[in-house]
Amino acid sequence: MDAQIAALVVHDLKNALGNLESQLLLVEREPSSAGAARARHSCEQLRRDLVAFLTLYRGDGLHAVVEDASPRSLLESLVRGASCSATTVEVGLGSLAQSPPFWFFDPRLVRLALDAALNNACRYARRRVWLDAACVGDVLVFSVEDDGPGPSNSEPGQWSTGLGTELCRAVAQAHQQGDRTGTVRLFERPGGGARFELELP
Amino acid sequence: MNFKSLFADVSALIIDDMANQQASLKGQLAMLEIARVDAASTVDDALRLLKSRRYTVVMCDYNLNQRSDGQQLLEHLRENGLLPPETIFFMVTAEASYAAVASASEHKPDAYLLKPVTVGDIEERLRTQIERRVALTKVHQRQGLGDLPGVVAACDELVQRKDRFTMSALQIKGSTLLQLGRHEEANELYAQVLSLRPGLIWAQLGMARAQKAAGNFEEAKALSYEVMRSKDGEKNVEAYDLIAQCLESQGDMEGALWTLRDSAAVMPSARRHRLLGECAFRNGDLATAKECFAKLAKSTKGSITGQPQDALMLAQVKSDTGEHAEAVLILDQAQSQNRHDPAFANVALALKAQALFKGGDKAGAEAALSRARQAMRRPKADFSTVALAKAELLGGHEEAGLKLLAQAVSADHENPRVKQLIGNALKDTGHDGKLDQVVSAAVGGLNAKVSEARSLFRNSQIDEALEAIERAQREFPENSAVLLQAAQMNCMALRLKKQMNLAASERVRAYLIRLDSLLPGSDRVAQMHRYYRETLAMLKSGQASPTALAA
Repeated sequence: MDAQIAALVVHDLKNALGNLESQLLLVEREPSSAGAARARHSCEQLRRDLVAFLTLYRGDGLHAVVEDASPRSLLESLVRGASCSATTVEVGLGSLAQSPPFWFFDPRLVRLALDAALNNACRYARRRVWLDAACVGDVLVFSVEDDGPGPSNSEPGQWSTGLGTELCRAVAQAHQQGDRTGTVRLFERPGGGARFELELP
Repeated sequence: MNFKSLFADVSALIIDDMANQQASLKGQLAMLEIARVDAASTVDDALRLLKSRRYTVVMCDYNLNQRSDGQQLLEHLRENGLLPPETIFFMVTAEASYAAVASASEHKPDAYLLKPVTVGDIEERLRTQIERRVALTKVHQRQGLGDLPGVVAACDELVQRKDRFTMSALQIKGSTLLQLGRHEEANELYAQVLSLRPGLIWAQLGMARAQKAAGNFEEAKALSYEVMRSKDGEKNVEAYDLIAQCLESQGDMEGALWTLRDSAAVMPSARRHRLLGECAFRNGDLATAKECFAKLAKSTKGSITGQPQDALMLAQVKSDTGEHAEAVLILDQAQSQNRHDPAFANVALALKAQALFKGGDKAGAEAALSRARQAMRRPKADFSTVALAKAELLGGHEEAGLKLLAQAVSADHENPRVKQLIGNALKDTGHDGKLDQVVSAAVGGLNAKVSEARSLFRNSQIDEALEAIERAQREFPENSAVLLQAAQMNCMALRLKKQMNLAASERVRAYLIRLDSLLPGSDRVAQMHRYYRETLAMLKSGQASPTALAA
């Protein structure tokens, strides 16, 4: 593992732990369910980063266990998870009009990747984030859109340590079909904001 | 979030040896409004609970910190039919061991939950599995009733809906078509699935099975090798098993042995070593057999993966390789652990007699042999009959030994595995070259009876032919060749007479049930099932014709 990445990851985890500590201190002094929810959200964030870290750097590479799974169910589950967390951004589903009833992918890995993308989108969104899936030609495209400033107007090194970006790229590459491999893209959303795409063969 | 409606009827069993982990999972299930939760700390507790009640979901920790792990428990439950098909099984595993656990298992859980497990994880996995079971309710009901055509019809309904369960329905339909002996349709289905998603392992293996069922062994092997060469299939032991079965059907017993040896190297599980050990023993490769059963004895000590047969096989191999005292010791130790199993005791006595004869304790051997004789009921085409015959031969009771072997052959004379066992027994006891004599003595009378029935049938003496084949099957009730012949003749008679005869129909059904237990998973039996069903359908539609089943 690259020493620079390791340092950044540790830095990020240290910050997340610091956040959690101050939130718990507040709850200790003044117990409130809102405070507890914030602390739990920080905990979730920390766990997510650690899982992403372990998934990426376990040493034996990322291996997709592909099965037939429903893109809609996966996205619905992500939306339910997001609505339980302490974010003030509204997370919803797109039309899913072009979403196939099933596709072949590793639901655990794709969930990790989309969770990272969703988390990032929530960080930059002003009010809303949309999740969608569509079959385009012979690939499935998962998308995460936000109404934030868009990638070109965000701070450099958008995804803090870059752990999320690395994870999404690795998950995409772990999905292969014949000579085709999954890809990720982040670009300006028409009408403002950012659009992240995870494309799976 | 309100989970009441979705999880209202859910009951759960947590299997974990760590009290804090149990408490944590219980708390998370309570957050999902799941209150009916039992917990087990040991494999024995888990087995007791699973035998006494039905659970919607079982959450089992992989690392049970005992002689058996979660995967071994799952395999034991599935292989012994202790887990109802509608029960959802989640394996809880650490992130670090997930890849190794998931890739090296013959029986997959419904899902893996990676630690740290969250409420969201459980909710999502449970929701998906419950939705799947609801969608497949009709299919499971038909499966429960053993109504295979009903399973196919229920799968067709699901496929028509073109929803997310299409692939599940196609997978079940494919394997059901194979069970029904409709391998051409199964092959077509798998080809259709593979055109949708090339390289899908279950479809490739399904197609290989369909080819094997059609007798296209080379095609079946080529498809299985393709699976083994793929990234996701290199540890797929089903592919190895298929190749071994094809090689055995082609008479290449040594090739089958090498394939099983490879599969045990890929997945060194108790089951793999058992399969390899048994195959090596049949092939006379005693060194490999001894190594496998010794490994098994060591790795399964105190674990649910151990089987009484393992100790018997180890004792047999030890005795055959000159380690007589050790064989007796193994039998005595195993005897105390299996004292309530009469079948075990009978074989153990015969093996003990063999070891004692070889070790020179003639009096002890005769005493054990005498008890083994008394315990033997009807000789069958199995290990226990051959073990007793071998003890007789070693004790110099040639007539009794050869008679038992002849009875074992005549019980199922077309079974190549039985012939291998008998050939080895004769060789080990200095009766080399008597196999043909034993087989012809045993099969001669049987073949004459079957030929007589056939000739009567050809001369249109249908009732007389049926009586003759009935007599043969009464005399050899476990001979698969006679049973297949009896089933076919009865079906042909029904077709010729163009008239339903309930007694004949019931007879065929009874033969098929017996064949299912004698030759589980046999393609020939599946084809006879199909011939029987087609016969009934023809009688119903009034189109019966005497066409014989293709060989």
